[in-house]
Amino acid sequence: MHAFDFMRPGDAEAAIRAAAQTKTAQQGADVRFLAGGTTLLDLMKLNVETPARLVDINRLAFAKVEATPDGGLRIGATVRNSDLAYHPAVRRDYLPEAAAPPSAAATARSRCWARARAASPPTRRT
Amino acid sequence: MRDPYLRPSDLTRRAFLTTAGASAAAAALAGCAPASQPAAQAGAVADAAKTGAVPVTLRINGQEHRVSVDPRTTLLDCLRETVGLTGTKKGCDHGQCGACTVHVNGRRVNSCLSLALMHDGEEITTIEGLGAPEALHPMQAAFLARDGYQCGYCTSGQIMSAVALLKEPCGRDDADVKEFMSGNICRCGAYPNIVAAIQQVRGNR
Repeated sequence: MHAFDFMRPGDAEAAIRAAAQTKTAQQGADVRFLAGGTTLLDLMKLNVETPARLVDINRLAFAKVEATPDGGLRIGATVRNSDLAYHPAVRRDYLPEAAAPPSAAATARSRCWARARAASPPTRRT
Repeated sequence: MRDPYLRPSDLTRRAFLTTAGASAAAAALAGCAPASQPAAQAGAVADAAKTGAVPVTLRINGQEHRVSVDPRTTLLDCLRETVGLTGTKKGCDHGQCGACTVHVNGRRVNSCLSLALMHDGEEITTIEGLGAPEALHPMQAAFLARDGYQCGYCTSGQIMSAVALLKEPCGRDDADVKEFMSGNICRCGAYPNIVAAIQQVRGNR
Protein backbone atom coordinates (compact mmCIF):
# COMPACT_ATOMS: atom_id res chain seq x y z
CA MET A 1 0.00 0.00 0.00
CA HIS A 2 1.34 3.42 -0.92
CA ALA A 3 1.59 6.07 1.74
CA PHE A 4 -1.13 8.71 1.84
CA ASP A 5 -2.20 11.80 3.71
CA PHE A 6 -5.28 11.23 5.81
CA MET A 7 -7.85 13.99 6.19
CA ARG A 8 -11.05 14.09 8.16
CA PRO A 9 -12.87 17.30 7.16
CA GLY A 10 -15.53 18.60 9.48
CA ASP A 11 -18.23 19.25 6.91
CA ALA A 12 -19.32 18.38 3.39
CA GLU A 13 -17.98 21.57 1.83
CA ALA A 14 -14.49 20.94 3.18
CA ALA A 15 -14.67 17.35 1.96
CA ILE A 16 -15.66 18.44 -1.54
CA ARG A 17 -12.88 21.04 -1.60
CA ALA A 18 -10.37 18.40 -0.56
CA ALA A 19 -11.50 16.01 -3.30
CA ALA A 20 -11.81 18.67 -6.01
CA GLN A 21 -8.05 18.65 -6.42
CA THR A 22 -7.96 15.09 -7.65
CA LYS A 23 -7.31 13.77 -11.10
CA THR A 24 -10.22 11.81 -12.56
CA ALA A 25 -10.56 8.08 -12.03
CA GLN A 26 -9.40 7.42 -15.59
CA GLN A 27 -6.32 9.57 -15.03
CA GLY A 28 -5.54 7.68 -11.83
CA ALA A 29 -7.41 9.46 -9.06
CA ASP A 30 -5.09 10.73 -6.38
CA VAL A 31 -7.71 11.82 -3.87
CA ARG A 32 -10.33 9.33 -2.75
CA PHE A 33 -13.23 9.55 -0.36
CA LEU A 34 -13.01 6.94 2.37
CA ALA A 35 -16.27 5.53 3.70
CA GLY A 36 -16.41 1.91 4.86
CA GLY A 37 -13.27 1.22 2.88
CA THR A 38 -14.05 -2.39 2.06
CA THR A 39 -13.47 -1.81 -1.64
CA LEU A 40 -10.96 1.02 -1.55
CA LEU A 41 -8.63 -0.46 1.08
CA ASP A 42 -8.81 -3.87 -0.59
CA LEU A 43 -7.62 -2.31 -3.84
CA MET A 44 -5.03 -0.15 -2.06
CA LYS A 45 -3.52 -3.29 -0.55
CA LEU A 46 -2.99 -4.56 -4.08
CA ASN A 47 -1.64 -1.21 -5.28
CA VAL A 48 -4.49 -1.00 -7.78
CA GLU A 49 -5.70 2.16 -6.07
CA THR A 50 -2.88 4.52 -5.13
CA PRO A 51 -4.40 7.72 -3.78
CA ALA A 52 -2.05 10.26 -2.28
CA ARG A 53 -4.81 11.53 -0.01
CA LEU A 54 -7.78 9.90 1.70
CA VAL A 55 -10.73 12.05 2.75
CA ASP A 56 -12.59 10.28 5.55
CA ILE A 57 -16.31 11.06 5.29
CA ASN A 58 -17.51 8.57 7.90
CA ARG A 59 -18.22 11.19 10.55
CA LEU A 60 -20.19 13.51 8.30
CA ALA A 61 -23.97 13.27 8.66
CA PHE A 62 -24.64 11.09 5.61
CA ALA A 63 -25.96 7.98 7.33
CA LYS A 64 -29.67 8.70 7.09
CA VAL A 65 -32.48 7.29 4.99
CA GLU A 66 -35.27 9.86 4.71
CA ALA A 67 -38.57 10.07 2.87
CA THR A 68 -38.85 12.92 0.36
CA PRO A 69 -42.03 14.99 -0.09
CA ASP A 70 -42.75 13.43 -3.50
CA GLY A 71 -42.79 9.92 -2.05
CA GLY A 72 -39.18 8.99 -2.78
CA LEU A 73 -36.25 8.16 -0.57
CA ARG A 74 -33.11 10.15 0.11
CA ILE A 75 -30.29 7.74 0.93
CA GLY A 76 -27.19 9.25 2.51
CA ALA A 77 -23.78 8.46 1.03
CA THR A 78 -22.57 6.45 4.01
CA VAL A 79 -25.74 4.41 4.64
CA ARG A 80 -24.72 0.77 4.89
CA ASN A 81 -26.20 -1.74 2.46
CA SER A 82 -27.48 -3.88 5.31
CA ASP A 83 -29.14 -0.93 7.05
CA LEU A 84 -30.80 0.02 3.79
CA ALA A 85 -31.98 -3.51 3.02
CA TYR A 86 -33.74 -3.79 6.38
CA HIS A 87 -35.03 -0.21 6.62
CA PRO A 88 -38.79 -0.31 7.25
CA ALA A 89 -39.58 2.17 4.46
CA VAL A 90 -37.50 0.20 1.98
CA ARG A 91 -39.07 -3.11 2.93
CA ARG A 92 -42.53 -1.60 2.77
CA ASP A 93 -42.28 0.33 -0.50
CA TYR A 94 -39.40 -1.09 -2.52
CA LEU A 95 -39.20 -4.82 -1.97
CA PRO A 96 -41.80 -7.37 -3.10
CA GLU A 97 -43.32 -9.77 -0.54
CA ALA A 98 -41.64 -7.72 2.16
CA ALA A 99 -44.49 -6.75 4.47
CA ALA A 100 -43.50 -9.55 6.85
CA PRO A 101 -40.19 -9.70 8.75
CA PRO A 102 -37.36 -10.51 6.34
CA SER A 103 -36.53 -14.11 5.65
CA ALA A 104 -33.45 -15.47 3.95
CA ALA A 105 -35.59 -16.93 1.18
CA ALA A 106 -37.04 -13.55 0.21
CA THR A 107 -33.68 -11.78 0.01
CA ALA A 108 -32.12 -14.71 -1.81
CA ARG A 109 -34.84 -14.66 -4.49
CA SER A 110 -34.50 -10.96 -5.17
CA ARG A 111 -30.77 -11.00 -5.73
CA CYS A 112 -30.00 -14.54 -6.83
CA TRP A 113 -28.08 -14.06 -10.06
CA ALA A 114 -26.88 -17.66 -9.79
CA ARG A 115 -30.37 -18.94 -10.49
CA ALA A 116 -30.65 -16.67 -13.53
CA ARG A 117 -27.36 -18.04 -14.86
CA ALA A 118 -28.41 -21.61 -14.28
CA ALA A 119 -31.56 -21.01 -16.25
CA SER A 120 -29.68 -19.95 -19.38
CA PRO A 121 -27.54 -22.32 -21.44
CA PRO A 122 -23.84 -22.46 -20.58
CA THR A 123 -21.52 -20.44 -22.85
CA ARG A 124 -18.93 -22.29 -24.87
CA ARG A 125 -15.33 -21.87 -23.93
CA THR A 126 -13.10 -21.39 -26.97
CA MET B 1 17.36 -0.24 -8.35
CA ARG B 2 15.06 2.41 -6.93
CA ASP B 3 11.69 1.07 -5.77
CA PRO B 4 9.27 2.20 -8.55
CA TYR B 5 6.49 2.55 -6.00
CA LEU B 6 8.36 5.00 -3.83
CA ARG B 7 7.15 8.55 -3.86
CA PRO B 8 9.20 11.31 -2.17
CA SER B 9 6.82 11.35 0.76
CA ASP B 10 6.77 7.57 0.93
CA LEU B 11 8.27 5.63 3.71
CA THR B 12 9.63 2.16 3.16
CA ARG B 13 8.73 -0.49 5.70
CA ARG B 14 12.41 -1.01 6.35
CA ALA B 15 12.95 2.63 7.26
CA PHE B 16 9.93 2.65 9.54
CA LEU B 17 10.94 -0.55 11.33
CA THR B 18 14.54 0.58 11.64
CA THR B 19 13.69 3.85 13.33
CA ALA B 20 11.02 2.21 15.51
CA GLY B 21 13.57 -0.39 16.57
CA ALA B 22 16.20 2.27 17.18
CA SER B 23 13.93 4.24 19.47
CA ALA B 24 13.08 1.10 21.44
CA ALA B 25 16.77 0.27 21.75
CA ALA B 26 17.57 3.81 22.86
CA ALA B 27 14.89 3.64 25.52
CA ALA B 28 16.32 0.34 26.78
CA LEU B 29 19.85 1.74 26.90
CA ALA B 30 18.62 4.73 28.85
CA GLY B 31 17.51 2.32 31.54
CA CYS B 32 13.78 2.67 30.95
CA ALA B 33 11.80 -0.52 30.27
CA PRO B 34 10.74 -0.45 26.62
CA ALA B 35 7.20 -1.20 27.73
CA SER B 36 6.96 1.87 29.99
CA GLN B 37 4.39 4.30 28.69
CA PRO B 38 6.23 7.65 29.02
CA ALA B 39 9.37 6.42 27.24
CA ALA B 40 7.36 4.79 24.49
CA GLN B 41 5.25 7.91 24.07
CA ALA B 42 8.26 10.22 23.90
CA GLY B 43 9.95 7.91 21.44
CA ALA B 44 6.82 7.76 19.34
CA VAL B 45 6.40 11.53 19.22
CA ALA B 46 10.05 12.00 18.30
CA ASP B 47 9.72 9.40 15.59
CA ALA B 48 6.56 10.82 14.09
CA ALA B 49 8.30 13.58 12.19
CA LYS B 50 10.84 11.15 10.74
CA THR B 51 8.69 8.10 10.07
CA GLY B 52 5.29 9.57 9.22
CA ALA B 53 3.66 7.70 12.09
CA VAL B 54 0.54 9.34 13.47
CA PRO B 55 -1.05 9.15 16.92
CA VAL B 56 -4.30 7.23 17.27
CA THR B 57 -6.40 6.72 20.39
CA LEU B 58 -8.53 3.60 20.51
CA ARG B 59 -10.84 2.51 23.32
CA ILE B 60 -10.37 -1.24 23.20
CA ASN B 61 -12.43 -3.44 25.51
CA GLY B 62 -13.05 -0.45 27.76
CA GLN B 63 -9.40 0.57 27.99
CA GLU B 64 -7.83 3.55 26.28
CA HIS B 65 -4.81 2.81 24.09
CA ARG B 66 -2.69 5.59 22.60
CA VAL B 67 -0.55 4.31 19.80
CA SER B 68 1.58 5.75 17.06
CA VAL B 69 1.21 3.97 13.75
CA ASP B 70 1.88 4.28 10.04
CA PRO B 71 -1.39 5.64 8.58
CA ARG B 72 -1.59 2.51 6.41
CA THR B 73 -1.90 0.28 9.47
CA THR B 74 -5.12 -1.68 9.38
CA LEU B 75 -7.22 -1.95 12.52
CA LEU B 76 -6.38 -5.67 12.46
CA ASP B 77 -2.62 -5.13 12.45
CA CYS B 78 -2.93 -2.41 15.06
CA LEU B 79 -4.84 -4.74 17.39
CA ARG B 80 -2.53 -7.69 16.86
CA GLU B 81 0.91 -6.14 16.37
CA THR B 82 0.79 -2.74 18.05
CA VAL B 83 -1.52 -3.39 20.98
CA GLY B 84 -0.73 -7.10 21.25
CA LEU B 85 -4.29 -8.46 21.28
CA THR B 86 -3.83 -11.54 19.13
CA GLY B 87 -7.25 -13.11 19.67
CA THR B 88 -8.44 -11.51 16.43
CA LYS B 89 -7.04 -13.50 13.53
CA LYS B 90 -5.75 -12.64 10.07
CA GLY B 91 -7.25 -15.23 7.71
CA CYS B 92 -7.19 -13.65 4.29
CA ASP B 93 -6.46 -9.96 4.92
CA HIS B 94 -8.92 -9.10 2.13
CA GLY B 95 -12.31 -9.09 3.77
CA GLN B 96 -13.44 -12.49 2.55
CA CYS B 97 -13.10 -14.89 5.49
CA GLY B 98 -14.34 -12.93 8.51
CA ALA B 99 -11.66 -14.22 10.89
CA CYS B 100 -10.77 -10.58 11.62
CA THR B 101 -14.27 -9.59 12.77
CA VAL B 102 -14.37 -7.11 15.66
CA HIS B 103 -17.00 -4.67 16.91
CA VAL B 104 -16.68 -0.93 16.33
CA ASN B 105 -19.25 1.04 18.27
CA GLY B 106 -21.17 -2.23 18.67
CA ARG B 107 -21.31 -3.13 14.99
CA ARG B 108 -19.29 -5.86 13.34
CA VAL B 109 -16.46 -4.83 11.05
CA ASN B 110 -13.83 -6.69 9.04
CA SER B 111 -10.82 -5.14 10.73
CA CYS B 112 -8.50 -6.10 7.86
CA LEU B 113 -10.27 -3.66 5.56
CA SER B 114 -10.38 -0.78 8.01
CA LEU B 115 -7.62 1.60 9.01
CA ALA B 116 -6.74 2.14 12.66
CA LEU B 117 -6.83 5.88 11.89
CA MET B 118 -10.47 5.67 10.88
CA HIS B 119 -11.44 4.64 14.40
CA ASP B 120 -9.62 7.30 16.39
CA GLY B 121 -11.66 7.78 19.57
CA GLU B 122 -14.06 4.95 18.84
CA GLU B 123 -15.05 1.93 20.96
CA ILE B 124 -13.55 -1.32 19.79
CA THR B 125 -14.51 -4.71 21.19
CA THR B 126 -12.37 -7.75 20.46
CA ILE B 127 -12.84 -11.39 21.46
CA GLU B 128 -10.69 -10.69 24.52
CA GLY B 129 -13.26 -8.16 25.67
CA LEU B 130 -16.27 -10.41 25.26
CA GLY B 131 -15.72 -12.66 28.21
CA ALA B 132 -13.10 -14.44 30.27
CA PRO B 133 -12.62 -18.14 31.00
CA GLU B 134 -14.18 -17.65 34.40
CA ALA B 135 -16.96 -15.42 33.04
CA LEU B 136 -17.85 -16.55 29.55
CA HIS B 137 -20.13 -14.58 27.28
CA PRO B 138 -23.26 -16.69 26.64
CA MET B 139 -22.22 -17.05 23.00
CA GLN B 140 -18.81 -18.40 24.02
CA ALA B 141 -20.50 -20.85 26.38
CA ALA B 142 -22.88 -21.95 23.60
CA PHE B 143 -19.98 -22.53 21.19
CA LEU B 144 -18.41 -24.77 23.82
CA ALA B 145 -21.64 -26.60 24.58
CA ARG B 146 -22.37 -27.20 20.89
CA ASP B 147 -18.77 -27.93 19.85
CA GLY B 148 -18.91 -25.02 17.40
CA TYR B 149 -15.23 -25.18 16.36
CA GLN B 150 -12.38 -27.56 15.47
CA CYS B 151 -9.04 -25.85 14.86
CA GLY B 152 -10.37 -22.64 16.37
CA TYR B 153 -8.87 -20.22 13.87
CA CYS B 154 -12.16 -18.84 12.55
CA THR B 155 -13.77 -19.03 15.96
CA SER B 156 -13.00 -15.57 17.31
CA GLY B 157 -14.50 -14.03 14.19
CA GLN B 158 -17.48 -16.41 14.27
CA ILE B 159 -18.26 -15.52 17.86
CA MET B 160 -17.85 -11.78 17.28
CA SER B 161 -20.13 -11.96 14.25
CA ALA B 162 -22.66 -14.09 16.13
CA VAL B 163 -22.82 -11.66 19.05
CA ALA B 164 -23.41 -8.73 16.71
CA LEU B 165 -26.06 -10.74 14.89
CA LEU B 166 -28.13 -10.83 18.08
CA LYS B 167 -28.88 -7.13 17.56
CA GLU B 168 -29.54 -7.42 13.82
CA PRO B 169 -32.87 -8.12 12.07
CA CYS B 170 -32.09 -11.79 11.45
CA GLY B 171 -35.03 -14.10 10.81
CA ARG B 172 -35.81 -17.09 13.01
CA ASP B 173 -34.78 -19.94 10.74
CA ASP B 174 -31.42 -21.69 10.43
CA ALA B 175 -31.36 -20.46 6.82
CA ASP B 176 -31.54 -16.88 8.10
CA VAL B 177 -28.68 -17.45 10.51
CA LYS B 178 -26.61 -18.98 7.71
CA GLU B 179 -27.27 -15.92 5.54
CA PHE B 180 -26.29 -13.51 8.32
CA MET B 181 -23.17 -15.57 9.13
CA SER B 182 -22.18 -16.01 5.48
CA GLY B 183 -19.26 -13.60 5.93
CA ASN B 184 -17.49 -15.99 8.29
CA ILE B 185 -16.05 -19.10 6.69
CA CYS B 186 -14.77 -22.23 8.39
CA ARG B 187 -12.37 -24.58 6.62
CA CYS B 188 -12.98 -27.27 9.23
CA GLY B 189 -16.68 -27.22 8.44
CA ALA B 190 -18.04 -26.61 11.93
CA TYR B 191 -21.02 -24.79 10.41
CA PRO B 192 -23.86 -27.00 11.71
CA ASN B 193 -22.63 -26.65 15.28
CA ILE B 194 -22.01 -22.92 14.86
CA VAL B 195 -25.60 -22.42 13.70
CA ALA B 196 -26.81 -24.58 16.60
CA ALA B 197 -24.85 -22.50 19.11
CA ILE B 198 -26.23 -19.24 17.74
CA GLN B 199 -29.80 -20.54 17.67
CA GLN B 200 -29.40 -21.77 21.21
CA VAL B 201 -28.46 -18.30 22.44
CA ARG B 202 -31.37 -16.80 20.47
CA GLY B 203 -33.75 -19.23 22.10
CA ASN B 204 -34.56 -21.05 18.89
CA ARG B 205 -32.96 -24.35 19.86
